[in-house]
Amino acid sequence: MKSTTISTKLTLVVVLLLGFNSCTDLETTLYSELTPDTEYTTTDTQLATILTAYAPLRDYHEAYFNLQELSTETSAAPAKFGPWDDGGIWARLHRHEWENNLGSIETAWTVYFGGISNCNRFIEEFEATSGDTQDAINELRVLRAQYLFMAMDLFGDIPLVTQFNGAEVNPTRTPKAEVFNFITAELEEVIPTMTETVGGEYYGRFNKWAAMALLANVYLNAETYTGTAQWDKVAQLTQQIIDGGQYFLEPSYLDNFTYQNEGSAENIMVVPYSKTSGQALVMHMKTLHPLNKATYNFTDGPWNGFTALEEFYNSFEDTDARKDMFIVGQQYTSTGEPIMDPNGAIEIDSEGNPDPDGEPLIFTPYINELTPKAFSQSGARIGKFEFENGIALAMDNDVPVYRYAGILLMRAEALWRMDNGSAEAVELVRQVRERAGLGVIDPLTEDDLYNEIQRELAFECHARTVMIRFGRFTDQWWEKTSTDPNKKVYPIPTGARNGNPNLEQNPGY
Amino acid sequence: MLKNKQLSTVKLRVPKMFRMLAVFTFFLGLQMQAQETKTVSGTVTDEATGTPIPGANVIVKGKSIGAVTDFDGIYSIEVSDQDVLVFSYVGFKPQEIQVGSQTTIDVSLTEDFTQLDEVTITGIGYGTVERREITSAVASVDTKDFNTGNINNPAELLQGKVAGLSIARPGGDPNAGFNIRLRGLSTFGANSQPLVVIDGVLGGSLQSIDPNDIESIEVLKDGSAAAIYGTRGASGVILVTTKKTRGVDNARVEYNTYLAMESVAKFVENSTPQQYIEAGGIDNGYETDWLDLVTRTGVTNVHNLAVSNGMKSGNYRASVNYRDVEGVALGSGFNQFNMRFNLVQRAMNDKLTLTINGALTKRKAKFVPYEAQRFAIIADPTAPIYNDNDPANGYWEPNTPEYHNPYAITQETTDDGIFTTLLGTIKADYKLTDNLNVAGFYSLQHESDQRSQYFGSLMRFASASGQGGRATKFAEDRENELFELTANYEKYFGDLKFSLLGGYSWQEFTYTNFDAFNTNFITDDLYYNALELGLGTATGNDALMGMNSQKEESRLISFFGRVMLNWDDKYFVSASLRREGSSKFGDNEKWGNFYAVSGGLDIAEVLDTPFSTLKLRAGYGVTGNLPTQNYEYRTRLSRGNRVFFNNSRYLQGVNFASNPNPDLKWEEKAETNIGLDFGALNSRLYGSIDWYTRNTTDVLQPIAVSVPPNFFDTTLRNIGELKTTGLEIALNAALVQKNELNYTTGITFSTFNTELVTLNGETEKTFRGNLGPPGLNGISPIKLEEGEPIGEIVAPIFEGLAEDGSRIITDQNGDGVITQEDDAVVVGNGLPDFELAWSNNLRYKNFDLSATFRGAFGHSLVNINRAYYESPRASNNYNPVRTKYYLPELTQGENWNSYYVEKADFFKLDNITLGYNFNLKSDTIKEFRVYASGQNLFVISGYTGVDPEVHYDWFGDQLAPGIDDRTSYFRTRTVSLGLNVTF
Repeated sequence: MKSTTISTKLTLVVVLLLGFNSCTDLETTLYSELTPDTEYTTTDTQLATILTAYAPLRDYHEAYFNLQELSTETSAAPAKFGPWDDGGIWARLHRHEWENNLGSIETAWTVYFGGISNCNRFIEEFEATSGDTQDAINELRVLRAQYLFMAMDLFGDIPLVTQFNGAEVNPTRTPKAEVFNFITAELEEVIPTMTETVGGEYYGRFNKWAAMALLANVYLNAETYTGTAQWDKVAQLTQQIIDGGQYFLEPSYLDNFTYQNEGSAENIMVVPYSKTSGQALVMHMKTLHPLNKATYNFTDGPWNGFTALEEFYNSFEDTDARKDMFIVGQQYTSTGEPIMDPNGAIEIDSEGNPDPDGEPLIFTPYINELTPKAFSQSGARIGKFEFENGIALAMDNDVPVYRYAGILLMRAEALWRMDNGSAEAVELVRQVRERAGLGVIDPLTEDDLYNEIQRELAFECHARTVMIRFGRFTDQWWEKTSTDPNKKVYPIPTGARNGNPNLEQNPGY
Repeated sequence: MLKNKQLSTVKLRVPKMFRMLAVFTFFLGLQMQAQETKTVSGTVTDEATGTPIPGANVIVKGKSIGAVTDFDGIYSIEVSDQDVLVFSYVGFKPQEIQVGSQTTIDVSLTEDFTQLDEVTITGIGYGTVERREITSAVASVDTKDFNTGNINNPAELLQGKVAGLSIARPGGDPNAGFNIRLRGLSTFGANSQPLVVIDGVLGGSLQSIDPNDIESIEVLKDGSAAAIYGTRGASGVILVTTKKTRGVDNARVEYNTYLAMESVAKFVENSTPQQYIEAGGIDNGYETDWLDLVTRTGVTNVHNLAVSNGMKSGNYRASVNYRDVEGVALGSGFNQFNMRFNLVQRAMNDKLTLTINGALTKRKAKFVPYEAQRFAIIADPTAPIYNDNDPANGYWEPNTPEYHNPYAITQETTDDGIFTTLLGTIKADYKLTDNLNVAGFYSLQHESDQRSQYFGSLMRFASASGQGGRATKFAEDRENELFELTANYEKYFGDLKFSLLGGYSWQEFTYTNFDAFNTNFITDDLYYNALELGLGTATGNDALMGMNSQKEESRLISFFGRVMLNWDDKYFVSASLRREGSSKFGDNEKWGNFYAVSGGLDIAEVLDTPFSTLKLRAGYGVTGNLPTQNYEYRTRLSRGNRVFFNNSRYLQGVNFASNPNPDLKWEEKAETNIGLDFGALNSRLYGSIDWYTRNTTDVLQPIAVSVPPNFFDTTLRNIGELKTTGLEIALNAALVQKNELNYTTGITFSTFNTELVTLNGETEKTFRGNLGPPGLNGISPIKLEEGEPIGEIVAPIFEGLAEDGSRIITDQNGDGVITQEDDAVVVGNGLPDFELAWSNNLRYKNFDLSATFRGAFGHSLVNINRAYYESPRASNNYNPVRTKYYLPELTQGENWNSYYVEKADFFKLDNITLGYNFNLKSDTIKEFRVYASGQNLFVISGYTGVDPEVHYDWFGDQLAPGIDDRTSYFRTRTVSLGLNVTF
């Protein structure tokens, strides 16, 4: 039969077709990405992995700065006739009227919890690897503690997730006191095994001293998280760092913040920014005026954003060497010509007042208003981190997270809290003030301590934590009139709650 | 033993394609005895005049064999005695003749004003059917219905021609693609544009085909029609058939050319220098019309030459097309050279038909950043072009960083694209028996994009500012390789016609790219041609130099089949199944089954009705959709941060590329379509109505997930459901059918409603889109809410101005603060209530006139330019926008409220063409026609922005329609003069 022949042959074809493996082969190749099984040709893999885990810390002077400084009495980002209005987000951040989806809040959550996830993953990978990985695991545990601390400080109760594989899909929030206990227990356990090496390969990483500084800082704010102060622990840890003899006060305050500050003997833990790779420091763009481009021969005009508050600027005595961190007065080109800004001649603010000094580009500590018509030239600019001549959008300066002067002030505060007549506290503060060219304060009041800490550590992303510890974050200042105590923690960002329905919102949001 | 084991695992290292070809060869090797055939020939003439009819169809009834008469009306065809021949020609009544013992069959056709081409062969994917056999929603448009004028993209041919097919390109950028939407939104995480199949090539490039080479376009609208394309049919299928030659000894040379002038039809209205100063702007002493400076009248010229002929054993057609198109934006446009050939040759007693197609397209495009137009709207009209109006002093630049000298952008940008497409296909059809055909098809489409940019050292715009010149080279190659085997069986069992299709399809896509950039050049003279001359590479700085390369691949394999039954042209049933596997999913989810069933009943054939056709159709089909990403199911690591470690060496970290999802699977769409085709009044009035409802489930989209435990805050998952219901009506009427006067008109109407059933199971409401920085950054005007329609525009309500010139905004929740989340209410929708198009064709003696009107109604647009700049206060930094809504007393700057949402209903004359055919009593010139054409000659709309066209997406976000961004291209108007000659 003809048709039988056809169907036989067709069947044969189909069988042949299926017989060829390639006809149903859906396996594809990954050409330009790696898999967990990739073999590396470099021996630096372990080191590169550890440094990858540090990457989120580069946000330190970005979203974290916004949340730690711009919401306090040190600084703000006034809206200047359009620029920096951005729908009022900067004004609301400063006025403690922020919304749950504020970009910086979303970013901080994503970045620091992403860092925690990455630490968890790397720790598990190292645990599964044969060979000497214990030091790497310990360092990652300290780094994870740093991220957990920052997240707990910003958000209060947080998900405490310490594993990567098999972790709960939608973790709930752990009370901050428990998170505090986890962080301190981790650090207490790991610190004795940490290297004491300073600098070199450990520059920008946690060695024993940096881990102790972190632990001291966590204890310093213990009352915020647990309701119980732990001043003695702070005093002990800071004494150990001092006794270690590895760090000193630099003779000149601003030397700690230059664009070549790798040699600072004072910086214990830094975020090593680099103008040539990845995310860098962009303070010059954020704080300076577009026409300052000619002052420093930048390749781009700066964005005229962040300024110090007038009152904070004025809290520095004129003889305070640290006051040089601000840029005020007439601005000049790199060849010494005074810079003129036509906008200075035409700007009229919301009250109907003109710029006080007209066309010359003169930064005044005075800021006429927060929004929407702050004069383009108003506000002392943040020049703490030295501006390198001729750079583009990125600065090379490394930003200290923990600094020896801060350790001295931590110990001073701890001693003073336990005994407000402590002579050693007076002496420690004296050391810090002397370096700034200032005299001794004796006896110390709480105001003195508070102001000294804020001035010394200005723009190093501690201001909010300090204000909360001293009970001043709910005070009123300048255009910030809110006294809402709920604002001591940020809201769980909308994006995070979209991703995890088990995250309850903080009260008041 | 070890040796043996090794041997047993050795794989045959034969390239995959060879193995497949081996199978194919085997196919061809199957020798069959066939019924005896003979050649029948004859002449087809017009009964009324006795003149021959060239181009008439002669087909063998019930088989896919056909011929077309030549210029003298002569045809020749291979048939057997049992066959019935069907003779047809547009405007004439078809005739059927039993072949019997005849070898010469001459036929005279009588004129018929029937327009419903019931015997027209229509493509339905992997085969063709007669129009009346179709049981699903398929629309067919051919040359005589195409839009005319300055058409540079095949999508333009179809605008307004198919009910339910929306084609829009806001603005007139010749380099921009068209947004093609079939029946609204069927997905938002996967591909929302229909699958394009060009002469059998799945995923063919529409851009690479010259509109002049297109014979017809079929649109498979519903799920039951598209399911044969399984995975990629969810957003519909567009089948493009290029022009072919039919008949014997029909040598033709066709030459078409036109010249078009394109000018700006609508700018965003702004202030004159005087108005700017009155509003409070500082007078810089000059008068500069920036809008005029950055635009021009674009001149386009197009040439097409096509040669074709048919022989007894085959035919060919080859064409060469050249287009030189200038955009109205100064410096923008493209020129394109395109060649295409189609060869058909029969062998082995005509049992074997080999078809070879080839095409080459090379497009050289010039781009100018849209920001040149955007900034021209708001640039200070009293500023000079150059400082002190002297080019030696450099370009004038504003103090504000929010815009830059628009003219400088046009002059300092060199942005060239070279887009090359190569296509080769070969198809072998073999007639095993009279009833059984087998075919093998192989195609290779290679697309290569090269983009080269140079921003001069004087550029102060975007990333190039202050970089001493910035050169970028970007190269991308995409390869689409397709191999298919099909078998078609067709047989009559009495009154029952039975057709069966079976097939196998293998398709692989490969993608590679490479790009590099460098900065700080010692001269601007060499543009992007000497990347090594930049000093950026000497810095090691990622912001000043860099490179990047990637390669990815994906594969699709499927087995498919379709059965169709036609009982006496009264009852029709069709069913199809496609089992398809994709490499983009995890091991357990790779394969999916997509199927369809549909049926039809021609009531006019069963009952006595006044209708010539009254066919009721119903169909149900399930189609699928793929993610655009290739490897999302796998754990992948890619470049992490790079650290300059210890001031001594760089370390390269790696990090997760995404959160992997091993459970990733097909997105599915199930669609029910019920339709009615009708013809009445001797078929002078005909049309169809279709109602459909479609449900897309397991929508592919990035879903927010918890961090930790995840690393990224989104994972690509299958969550969400969309539901669309709609109605489409197409109505055609041959109103006048006289010898000298002939007028036909047609209307297409479509309406649909897309509802978001669920988004991700967690979020009930979100806001999409962004008005943009500075000032309104982060404000999202489009609300997305479960159970609500897509595209709702929400804004706080503007009530008017207070005495001090400040805005009064309704505080919905009374908390004293106006926010988008709490105080915005729905004030419009970005998607239209309905769309309407009206086509007209008129022929009077030698004149022909065609006109297409098109409109969309009920949609609104967010006019961001007004929200930002339409206030006297804007004069602080910008030239205020000044439409009819301008409020001179307003004392506040940019704001978001309902005042900036406008109704954007429009009705416009898409195109109109008047042609004249010269009667040249010449043997050498067969046709000579001249025409004049106009596009967008008028647009009726109250919208004050540049273009009231529906804005279907916002920078690719399908869930944020209705936003007229500041960065857009002006609307244009075109007039053209053309010539068609046939030798």
